[in-house]
Amino acid sequence: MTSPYLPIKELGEIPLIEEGETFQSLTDRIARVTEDETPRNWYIAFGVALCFLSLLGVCVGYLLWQGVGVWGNNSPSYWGWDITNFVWWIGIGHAGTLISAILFIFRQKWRTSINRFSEAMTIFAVMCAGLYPGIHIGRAWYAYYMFPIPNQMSIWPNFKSPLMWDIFAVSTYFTVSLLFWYVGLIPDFATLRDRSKTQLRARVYGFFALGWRGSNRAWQHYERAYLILAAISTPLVLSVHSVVSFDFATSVLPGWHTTIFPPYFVAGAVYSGFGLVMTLMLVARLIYGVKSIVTTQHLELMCKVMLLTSSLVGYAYAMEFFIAWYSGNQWERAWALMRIVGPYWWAWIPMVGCNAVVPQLFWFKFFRTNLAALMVISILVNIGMWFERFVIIVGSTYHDFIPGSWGYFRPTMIDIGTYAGTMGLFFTCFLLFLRWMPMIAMAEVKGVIPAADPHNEVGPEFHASSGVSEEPEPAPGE
Amino acid sequence: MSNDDDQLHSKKTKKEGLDAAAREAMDRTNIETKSPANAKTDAMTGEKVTEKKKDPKASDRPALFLAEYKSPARCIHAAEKLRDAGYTKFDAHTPFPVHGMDKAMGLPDSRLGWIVIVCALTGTATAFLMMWWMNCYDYPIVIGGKPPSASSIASMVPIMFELTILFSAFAAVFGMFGINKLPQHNHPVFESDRFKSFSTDKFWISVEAQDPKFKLDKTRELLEKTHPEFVELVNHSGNEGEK
Repeated sequence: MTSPYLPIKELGEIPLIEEGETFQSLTDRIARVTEDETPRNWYIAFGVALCFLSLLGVCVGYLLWQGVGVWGNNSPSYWGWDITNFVWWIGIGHAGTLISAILFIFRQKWRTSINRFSEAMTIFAVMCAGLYPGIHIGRAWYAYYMFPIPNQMSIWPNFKSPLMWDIFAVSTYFTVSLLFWYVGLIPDFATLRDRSKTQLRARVYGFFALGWRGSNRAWQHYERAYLILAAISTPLVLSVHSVVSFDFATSVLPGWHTTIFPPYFVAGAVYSGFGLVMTLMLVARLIYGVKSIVTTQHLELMCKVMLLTSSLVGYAYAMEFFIAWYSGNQWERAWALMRIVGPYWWAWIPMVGCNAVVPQLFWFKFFRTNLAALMVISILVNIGMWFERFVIIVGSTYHDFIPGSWGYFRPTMIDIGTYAGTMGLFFTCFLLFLRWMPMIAMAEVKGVIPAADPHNEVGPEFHASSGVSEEPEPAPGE
Repeated sequence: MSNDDDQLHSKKTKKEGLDAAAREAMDRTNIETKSPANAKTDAMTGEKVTEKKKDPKASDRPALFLAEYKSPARCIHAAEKLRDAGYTKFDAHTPFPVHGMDKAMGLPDSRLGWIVIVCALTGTATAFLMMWWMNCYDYPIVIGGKPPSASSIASMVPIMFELTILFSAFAAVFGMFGINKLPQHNHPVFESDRFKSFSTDKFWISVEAQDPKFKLDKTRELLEKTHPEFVELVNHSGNEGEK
């Protein structure tokens, strides 16, 4: 019987999940990661991540004690690595929402193998990003001024400021991502609950599973909730990086004051997010033996998304230069020239090289399927995207309109330590996630294998007996 | 009678065996007399009867029938059968949402969208009123030469949008919890150990005793015609296995 779930062999399509995987084997493969004894390498990685997390604690503590002067931020560059890292981390998160929401709306079933993983990445990346606005304001204990709550000055936040929009966008993004992630996790927590060997596991997973019993009456509303969450997350994810770009675009600085920023930022965000998903997935699928679920086909499809977004970013780079020339604005022209030949030329090279040039290799199937190449390129993607944020932020602020207020931004050890520390925060959370939660959405992956299709009944004995079952009135007298 | 009472009582009767009154009560429930499948088991494993038919008072209150299927197709066919037979309080329990099951069960469309749209518009209105009240009414401030009035709505759009999304997301998730009555950690289906396979690879149908069409014998007969792997009657206090 033909089925929409089965790949069309004539078109060269191959199954999403390797053939031979059953509901049981998929569940075992994914749930086992959380059930088996913790591998020794996990402890080593977790220890390293914890070291970096402590580094973050030290750097942030020192910053709060001494003030923002411990960073390299100074006139004229009042934004340095702090906002660079903020934008970079937020951008990384975008891939998760793109995979979980936009690909869901487009019915891209291959997303099921990687969505849980990348949604987790989103949440931890947004946590890292959310740290920076709080600590870069100088007196962090006044961070509550950013929220619309009555304060001792009887003054309210200025809602015409893009920075306020940013607060709302990022906090909404974090909340919605968390809800989306949790809703997806409920059926999988139920699976872990039902497989638990110990009372404690059954209690803890049972608590989070909310008493899920796979009821179709519940699935019906669950699926609708999932669809609605996907539908609202789609404009949300586009809005978040657009609003982040408003922080720059609504100012009057050359290089920032452009209308191309929102789409350019969103494309870059998706691009960098896919880069990190790729890096982490390449490692995780080897270590945890989920190669049959996250196949080369998935990696190849991710490469294609990266190729598209890289080309969009490359187009935006070209358009920035074109508009700088075409505008006839001397400040814009000077900024564009300084980007290439100015003191920060060394940041511009990796930005263009890693973001616009290197991913063009993905036109070739060899690079899309070669794991070593993927590893290198996906890391280069994130290096390139970090430099893009840096070039945008410092590249427009270090040269003010008059030469008297030109400067040169240099990061301090605390800048570097804080950045490395957020990596520690990210990987600490991520390793805990890998250890204790199903890193692949079991319920969703099961739904895309051929056995899940009700029209694709397997096993000969069903067909033998189905003749009987289809009869309206089976013979009486059993 | 509370659940605890049931359990205490059932343990007691398990030890002592069934007395005459219990036997009589059992007859009233038709378990033995009318269900052919049951009669067979009774004949085959006469001794097991005392163990399985726990407390007669508990078996007066069966909670639901559970039937296990090994494929989504069989589960859907079973749901169709129950729907066509006029059952209303039955459910399918599947490891993932099975395509076509809503139709097979005869479920109406989810009304979650209505909850979400109401909350979404509440979010938009909340954002507008908050910004207008704070920046235009309570403490008017002029920024960038823009009037502190509702006419500067353009600058309010991003936050209005974000709160619309935020409120919708809460409505979608907590509305779904509300409709599905989650969290609900206690349910008769969990009394069955075998039912745990619902979250791995098996497909289950449950028929609740509250269903007006529910009859111990008829319902079992109907379920057994749908090619289940296993059928069991779950009481409020525990379960009775079969097949």
